[in-house]
Amino acid sequence: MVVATDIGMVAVSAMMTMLGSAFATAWAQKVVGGAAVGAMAEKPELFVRGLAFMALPETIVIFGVVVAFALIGKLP
Amino acid sequence: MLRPEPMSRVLLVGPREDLDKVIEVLYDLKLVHLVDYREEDETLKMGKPLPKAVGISEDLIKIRSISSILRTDKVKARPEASIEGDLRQRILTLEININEEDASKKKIESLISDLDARIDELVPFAKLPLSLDDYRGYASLEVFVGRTSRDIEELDLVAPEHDVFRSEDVLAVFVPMENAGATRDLLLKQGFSVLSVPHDGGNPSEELKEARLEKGRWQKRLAEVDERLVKLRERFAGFLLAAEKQLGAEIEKAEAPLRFAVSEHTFVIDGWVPSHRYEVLHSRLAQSEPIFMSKVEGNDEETPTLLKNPKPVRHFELFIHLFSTPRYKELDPTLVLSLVFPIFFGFMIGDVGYGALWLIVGGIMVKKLQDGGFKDLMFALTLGGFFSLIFGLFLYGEAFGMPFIATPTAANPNPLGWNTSLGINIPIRSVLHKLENPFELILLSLIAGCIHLGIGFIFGIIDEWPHSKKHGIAKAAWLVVLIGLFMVVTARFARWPGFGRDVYGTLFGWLPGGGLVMDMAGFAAVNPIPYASIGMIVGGMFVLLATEGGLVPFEIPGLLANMISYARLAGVAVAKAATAEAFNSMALSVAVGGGIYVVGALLIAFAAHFLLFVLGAVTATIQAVRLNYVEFFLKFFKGDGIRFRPFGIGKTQEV
Repeated sequence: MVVATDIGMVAVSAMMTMLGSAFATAWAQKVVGGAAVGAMAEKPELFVRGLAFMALPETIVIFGVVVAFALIGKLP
Repeated sequence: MLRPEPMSRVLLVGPREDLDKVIEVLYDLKLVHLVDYREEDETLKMGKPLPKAVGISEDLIKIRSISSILRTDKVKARPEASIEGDLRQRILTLEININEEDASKKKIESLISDLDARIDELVPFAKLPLSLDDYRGYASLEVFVGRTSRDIEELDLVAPEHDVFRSEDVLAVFVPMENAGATRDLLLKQGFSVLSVPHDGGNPSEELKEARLEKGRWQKRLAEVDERLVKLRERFAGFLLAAEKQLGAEIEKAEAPLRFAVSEHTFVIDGWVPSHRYEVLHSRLAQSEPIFMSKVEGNDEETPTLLKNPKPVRHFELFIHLFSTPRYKELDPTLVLSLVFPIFFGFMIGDVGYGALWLIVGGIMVKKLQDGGFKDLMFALTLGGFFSLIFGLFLYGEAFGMPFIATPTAANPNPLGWNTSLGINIPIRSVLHKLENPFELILLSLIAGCIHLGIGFIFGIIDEWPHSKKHGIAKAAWLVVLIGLFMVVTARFARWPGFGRDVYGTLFGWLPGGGLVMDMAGFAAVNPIPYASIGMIVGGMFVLLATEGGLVPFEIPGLLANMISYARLAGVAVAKAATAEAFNSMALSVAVGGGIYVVGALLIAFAAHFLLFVLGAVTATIQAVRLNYVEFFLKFFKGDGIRFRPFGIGKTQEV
C-alpha cells in the first residue's frame, strides 16, 4: 500500500463526512421548514420559534465539520 | 438581577358603589396583576360590566367603522396628544359627515358599474353601421347578432337569401323566417356566440359616446368624493387613533368587574403587586376610600413573574419571553444571556469592519426606534457589533474578511491582506486566523461552551436545592461529569503543540501530573486521557445513578454532543471568513484590470460585503440564541411562568 493512497482515503472520508452530514441537515431542515411555514401561516407569532427549530438540525452538520476537520488534521 | 421582583398577594374589599373609583385608581397606578375570579358561589358572583360599557362599545364600533371607511391604516398618523371637546359629540358629527360621503360614494360606484355594463353591451353594435332599431320589428326576417372569430361558411346552403354585416369579430345576419332554425344551428356549430340587442333605439356609436361621457362625468364626481374623504382622513386620522386608544382604555376599565368577585353590596379584588410598591397602593387606596386592603398568603406556582434587571440588560428579556417566562421561584437567566449573546455573536463575526458597522447602524436604530421587540433586537445586535469589533481587533486582526497583516508563506506566496493586497499598513497583528487556525477556534468554542454549560448546571443546583436536595446533588454530579468530559476534550487537543497544549497546561497543569495522564486508554499513546477525568465521569455517573435513576447515565453522550455543538461558533466564523475571502479575491482579481474595472471591483465588493454583513448577523443571531435556548436553558430552565401584566397597561402585543 502506498502512503499517498492513505492520504487520499482520508481526504475522501472528510469529503464524505461533510457531504453526508450536510445532506442530513438539509433533509431535516426540509421537514422542519415545511412544518414551520405551515405553523406560521396559522399563527404568525410563531416566526421566532420556527426559526429556532430551523436552526436545530444544524447541529448535525456541525458534527460533520468537526469530524472533517479532525480528519484533515491527519493530512500532512 | 438573577431573581424576579418579589411579589405580594393583595386582597381589596370595599363597598360596591366605590368600585368605579377603585378601578380608576388601579388603572392609573398600573401596579396590580389581577387574578380573575372564577369560582362563583352563593354570595360572591362574578361582577358585571359597568353600565357605561354599552355606550363605550357602541362608540368604539363607530370609530372603527369610520376608520375603515377612511382607510386610516393607509396613512401614518400620530395620535392626538389630548382629545379636545366632547368625544361622543365629535364622533357623532364625524359619523354623519362620513356616512353622507360614503353613501354618495357607494351610489356613484354603482352607477359607474351600471354604465360599464351598458358600454360593454354597446361596443360590438357600435362597430356595425346599423341603428339599434334596425335589428328588430320584422315580421318575415330573423336577425342574429353575435361574435365569431372566423368566417361563417356555407350560409348559402341554409339560407339562399340573406344579408350579412360584419366588422372585425362582430357579425349580424339577416335571414328569412323560414330559414331561421337552420341558420341558427349552422352559426352555433361554427362557434358563433349570440349577443342580445339593447332594448332602446338610436345610433349605437352615439349611444356609446354618450355613455362614455357620462361615465367620465361620474368618475370625476367619484374623484371629488374620494378627495374629500382623503381630506377628512388627513384631518381626523390623529383624532381617530387617539379616540380609539382612549375608548380602548375606557372599555378595559368598564369591563374590569368581570374579573372581580361581587356580592350584593361589596366587591373583592384579588391580585399581585410588587412587594416594594405595596405601600404606594395602600396609601392611594386606603387614604381615599373606606377600603380594606391586606396581604394574603400566596402560592409560588400562581405568582406572576416580573423580571428585574438593570436597564441595558432589560432588552434581552425579549429572548427569555420568546422561549418561556421563568417561574417566580426560578433564577432569571437574562443577565447571563445578555453577556453570552454578544460574546458569541462577536466571536462568530469577529471582524472590525462588520463590527463597527453594526455598532453604528444598530446604535442609530436603537436611538430612532420606539420601544418594542425590534428595538430590543437591535440593541442586542449593537452590543454584538461591539464585541465583533473587540474580537476583530484583538483576536483575529481583520476587517471585511482580510487580515491587517498577512505574511506570505511558501504554500501561499500571495495571501490576501490589507498590507499585501491593498498596501495599507495597519499595525494590528492577528492572534488567530480564521481559515488557518480552525482547531484553535474549535477549542476556544468548546471552552466557551463548557463555561456556559457549567453556569447552566450551577443555576440548576441553585434552582433545585431548596425543594429537593437529591435533584440538587444530581445537577452537581452533571457539573462534575461536564468538567471530566472537558478535560478529555482538552487533553485531545493537547496533542498539538502550542495553543492546545497551553490550554491544557493552564487549566489542568496544576493537577499533580496533569491529572495523571494515562498513556494508554484503549487508543494509542497519542491519545492520553487523564485519570482525573475518568474518575470524575465515572464518579458523577454513580451519583447520577443513585439520584436520578438508571437511565440518566445514557444521557452523558448527550452532554458531549451539547459540548461539541458549541463548535458551531468556530464553524460559522470559518464559513463567514471563507465566503468573505472568496468575494475579496474575486473583487481583487477584477480590480487588476485598472480603470473601469476598479469601479466594477468596488461594486462587487460592496454588494458582497453588504450581503455578508446582513446574512452574517442573521446566522450569528440565530446560532447564538439557539445555543442559549437548547444547550443552556435545558440544563435548568423550567419556564411556563405567568408573566406579570398589571391592570392598566392595555393589551400588550406579542412579538
